[in-house]
Parts: sequence; C-alpha cells; structure tokens
Amino acid sequence: MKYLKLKYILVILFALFFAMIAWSFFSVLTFSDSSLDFEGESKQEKLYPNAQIIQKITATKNNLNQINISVSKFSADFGEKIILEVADENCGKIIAQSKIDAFSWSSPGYEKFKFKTIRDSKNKTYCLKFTYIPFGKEQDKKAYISSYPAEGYSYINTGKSIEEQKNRTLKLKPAYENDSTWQNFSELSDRMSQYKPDYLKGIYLKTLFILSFVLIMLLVIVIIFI
Amino acid sequence: MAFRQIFLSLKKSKLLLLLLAVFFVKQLFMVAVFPMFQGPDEPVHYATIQDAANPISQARYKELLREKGNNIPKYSQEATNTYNLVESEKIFFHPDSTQIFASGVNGSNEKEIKNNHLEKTRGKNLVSSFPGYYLIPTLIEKTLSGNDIFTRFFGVRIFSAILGLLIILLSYLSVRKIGFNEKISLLFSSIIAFQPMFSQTSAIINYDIMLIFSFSLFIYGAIWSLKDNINWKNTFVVIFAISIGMLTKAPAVVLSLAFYILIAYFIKKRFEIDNKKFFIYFGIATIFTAILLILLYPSNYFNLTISQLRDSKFDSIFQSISKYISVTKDRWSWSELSYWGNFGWLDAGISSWIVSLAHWVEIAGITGVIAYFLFPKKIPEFLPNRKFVIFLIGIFLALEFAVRLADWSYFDTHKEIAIGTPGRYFLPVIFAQFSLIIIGLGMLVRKYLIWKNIIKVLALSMIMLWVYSVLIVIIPRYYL
Repeated sequence: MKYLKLKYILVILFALFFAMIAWSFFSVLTFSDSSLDFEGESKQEKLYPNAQIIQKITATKNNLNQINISVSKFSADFGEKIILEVADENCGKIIAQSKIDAFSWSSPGYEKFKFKTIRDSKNKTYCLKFTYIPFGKEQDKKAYISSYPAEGYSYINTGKSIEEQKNRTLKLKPAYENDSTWQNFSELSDRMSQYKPDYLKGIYLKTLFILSFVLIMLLVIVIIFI
Repeated sequence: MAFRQIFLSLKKSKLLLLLLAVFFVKQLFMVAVFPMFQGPDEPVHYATIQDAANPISQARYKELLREKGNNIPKYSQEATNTYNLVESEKIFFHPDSTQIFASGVNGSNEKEIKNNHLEKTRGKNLVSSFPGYYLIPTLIEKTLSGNDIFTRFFGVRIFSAILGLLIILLSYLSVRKIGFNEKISLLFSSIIAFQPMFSQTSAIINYDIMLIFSFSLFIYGAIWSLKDNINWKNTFVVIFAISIGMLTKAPAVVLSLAFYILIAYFIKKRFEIDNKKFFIYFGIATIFTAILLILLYPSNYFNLTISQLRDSKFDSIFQSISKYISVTKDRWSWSELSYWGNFGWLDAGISSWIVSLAHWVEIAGITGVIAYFLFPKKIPEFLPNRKFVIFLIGIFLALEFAVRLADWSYFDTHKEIAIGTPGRYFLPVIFAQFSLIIIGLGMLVRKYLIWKNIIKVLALSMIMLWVYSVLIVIIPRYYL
C-alpha cells in the first residue's frame, strides 16, 4: 500500500517538475533579432547603483516582448536586481517593466528581460532604461554592459555623465514572439532546420522533436510503475 | 553464449527495447539540436574523415603546399567554406552569439553551400595518429559522396548515436552480469542514457564516443570473465575492445594495463598461488614486461611518459607536481561542470547548484562503497560480489589517474596547461562511476525496495536534467 502511494507521489512530482520546465521553455520562446551584429571597438559601461542607462531602439516586428542584453560580471544575489523600464519614444510614459534578480532563470549568454507583449510594436521607437538596484549596503557591485559602434544609435549612462554616447549601441537585442504558442514552436523549428540536411528539416524535425518527448513520457511512466 | 544472450535480452526484455528506442529517437533529435561544427573539435574530426574519404598522395599534398603556401585552408576547401558560411567561428566560445536566421527552413547561405563543388581534400588541420574512429565515418562519407555536405555531416553524427545505442546495450548487459535484476538494470541504463554530456557525445562527430564504446566493451568482457571465468569468447571481446581503444585515443592504454592485471588475477586463481608468492611473481613479471616493452617497442606510452621527465622544465618532480596542483586546483569545478553539462564548445553550462546536488549523491555513493569494504558481513544479497566492485573501482581510478597524468606530463615539459581535464575525458568510465554510486547507495539503505525506489528517483532526475539541458540551456543558447 505504501509502495503504491510512492508511485503516485513520483507521478505528481515528475508532472510538476516537467510542467515547470515546459512552462519555462514556452515562455523563453521569444526570438531575438539575429541580424544585429556587434563589431568594432567594445567599451564596458558600468551600471552605477540606482542610476539609469538609457537607449532608444526601433522595433522591426510586432509583438516585442523581450530585451536580451549582455551584462558581464553580474550574478544577482538575494535582494538586488536590475530593472528595465520600456517607455515611449519621449522616455516619458512607462509601457512595460521587467527585472532580473536572484530568482530569474539564467541562460547562457544574454540576460533576458521579458515583459508584457507590445502587440503593435513594428517600426515604433522605444526608450529602454536599465537601473541596477543594490541590496542593503552593497553599493558598488561590478556589473557592466558592453557597447559597440553603431551608426545612428546612442545611449546615456546617467551614473557616469549626462553626455550622450553618439553612434554607439549597448549590446542588446530586441526579441519578439508570435501570435500563438504553436507559431512560436514553428518558428523555433524553422530556425533549428537551417543548415541541416533535408531529413532533419521542417516537418521531419518537428516530428522528431515531438516524438522524442512523447517517448520519454512513456519511458517515465514505465520507470515509475515497474 | 553471451553473444546469443544479447539477442535473447532484446527478445525477452520489452523494457530494454523501449529504452533503446527512446534513446535512439532522442539522440536523433540531439543530432539535429547542435548546429554544424558546434561539437568540441568537430571541424577537425570531420576534416579528417573527409581526408580519409578523398585521399591525395603525399607528393600531391606537398605540391599543394608549394603552390598555396599559407593560403591552404584549415580544412578541406568545402568544409572551410561551409564552416565560414554557417558562421561557426562567430558562435563558439561566444555564448551571446548565434547564426543569422533567415525566415523559413533554409539558411541564407544554404543554397550557396549546397551548390558549391569545392575540393574535399586535405587542409592544414587533421587528427594524424589514431585511425580507429574514422573507419566507419569514412565509409559513410564515401557512400553519401553524391549528396550535399549537410547530408554527409549529419549522417556521420548519426553514427555516434548508433555507438551510443551500443554503449547503452552494453551497460545493460554488464549490470545484468554483475547480478542486478532486469528492472534495476533498466533503471541503471536509463541513468546513463540521459546523462546530458554522454548524450551530447553520442550526437556529435568526435572520436571520444568510440573511446567510450571501447571502455564499455572492455568492461562488459571483463565482468563476463570475472563471472563465468575466462574463456576464448570473453578474451576475444576484451582484446577486441583494447584494440579498438588503442586505435582510437591514448587513454585506452588504461585498458591494456587493466587487462594485464586481470590476466594476473586469473593465473593466481587457476594455479591457486598464495598472496605472498603472487606479489613476488607479479613484481618480477611486471619488471620483465616493462624491459621487454622498452626493448621491443621504445615508443610505447609508458616509456614516452617516463622519458619525458628528462625534458622537465622544473627543478624537481615535487616542484612540478606542486606547481601543477596549484595551477589546476581552480579547474576542478570546471571539469565537473563539463562532466555534467557544459555544452557545445563548453560555452553553455547548466546551473551550478545541479552539479552540487550531483556531488551529494556521489558523496553518499562513495560513503556506501567504503562501508561495503568495512562491513562485509552487512552487505545485502542484492549487491554484487567484491571482485566486481574492486574491478570497477580499479578501472575508474585508472582512467582518472591516466587523464591527470597526461595533463601533468604536458605541463611538466611545457610549463603550461594544454590538454586540460574537460569532463568528457572521464566519460569512458561512466559505467563504473554510476554503478559504484548505485552499489554504495544500496549498501547504505540495505533494503531492496528502498534501494530500487532511490534508483528510480535518480533515473527520473537524470531524465529531468536532460530535458532541462535541452529545452532551457541548449536550444536558447543556439536558436533564441
């Protein structure tokens, strides 16, 4: 009887963990603008406590819902965070907000600031404000954002000076989602299909993706009940 | 008998068939997950395969070198061109870089890559000395020569998935031989099948997978001989495994050493030699073998390692070792992360707390193994005999020692770390490591049902780790 109970506990625990990972996966299915390339002389912009770094960007697609930014030497400890505010073109009205802190699920490369989807974002300009909020006495934790030469871009690091850094951009990529989860999955499948042979492309890849996880679920059930 | 047993196992065990099917399908998916050339050292291994499939004479190569000088490409013209067009260099070691994606299923340079008819012959970078892994990939490359490079490249990757499949089968058969029942064996094999770095190694082009295969085959043959006594069949399996390993990569020298000790054990058993005499005979035989090796085969691995000491850049061996330890002490955590999950060119790692969690399981396992030897009367019936445990500890420690010896030996003569100890170098003894942990845990709990449930939880946790690695680490790293 006790043994039976354990099986069900395992089923519930596995379902819970798997749901958490699946939820995280579908929520990270946001596609960054891969055409942005950062070349040339890089500079490190320090994030000063409670001071903003501000840059404007123009969205190339609808459904802007994330900003990926390369923050080096930063690993959030309990209580501290970096906040992103997405404001309108005049840096006035805040449209969306996001933060990364000790509880954010980090992935390699960029820090990902996800916010409520801006549906009609195409060709609109947004003002991005990044602020590092320290915890307690820790005022001078080192966190840097790289910047690169880029014609027509500019940013201000208000912690350092109010002088505009012209023709430079922070190392950031706007990211967009699609109208439905299935479309997101299809776009992922398209990206994964590129530079692959015909037998690992498109529908074959999608089938393989889904089949792998269905079979794994089957194996999990067998493992729990043997 | 045992060869038949492989097929009987497949026929009898639907559970095993299910595991193998799941493993193979998810490995095919893994083959597609990693972008081209993003496996560690993948370009140079593929270049070596291309060179073997499209050989040119040494005279022609010298002529090419004269003609092109420094302009000779890194790999074949075709591979170098593809390598550049799929933006490989921009991606690896740069976790914030991805390729530029087009809309649809075809990359923007795909047509150009498919339509080029560039030479497939030798570039500058090749793996020169070990042919073992390349034989079958070369056949695949030749057979598919009429197809584009994507078909050929990923075709060779599938060969790694097949080797991975054989390794899982061998791990199942090996644990069955040491006495685990069918269910425990299935759970155990599932743990290996979903270890994330083993999954990566079974999905990319690299000779490491052949080395893991040779170790797995050797362990199977050795366990078979320890169980059913030595016979011509298991001796053949062991010698075949050593041959494949030695033709694949240097660490396989560990297998010949293990074979030597195994033979000594069987001689002791056969002639019932007492311990004192045995150690004297063993010492004499070892000295005699070493002299014979030096005289007949002066370039053998042991001799080379010892003779390298003469070229040491340090005043004494102690200074060299202490400097090596101080230089490498910070690298242990890096080795461990790259054993559990640091993907591609080691630029996409899992969270460090997962490695810490794995540590605690390892520590519990080691404690159990120590208890196994300290309290022999308390060993539960479901755990294997001592000789198997000693063998597993021996092969595990031997590889650990060999990898670090090779790393130190290079450091000793060059004053720099070049070989390193990435986690995948320790994967050949994954079977020994995981089975020792399972045995240790069995010793700690000493009740079959609890033990089985713990292994179940470990198998499920490993599956979750794989799912997390693929969905949260690898896919976002390369495609989002």
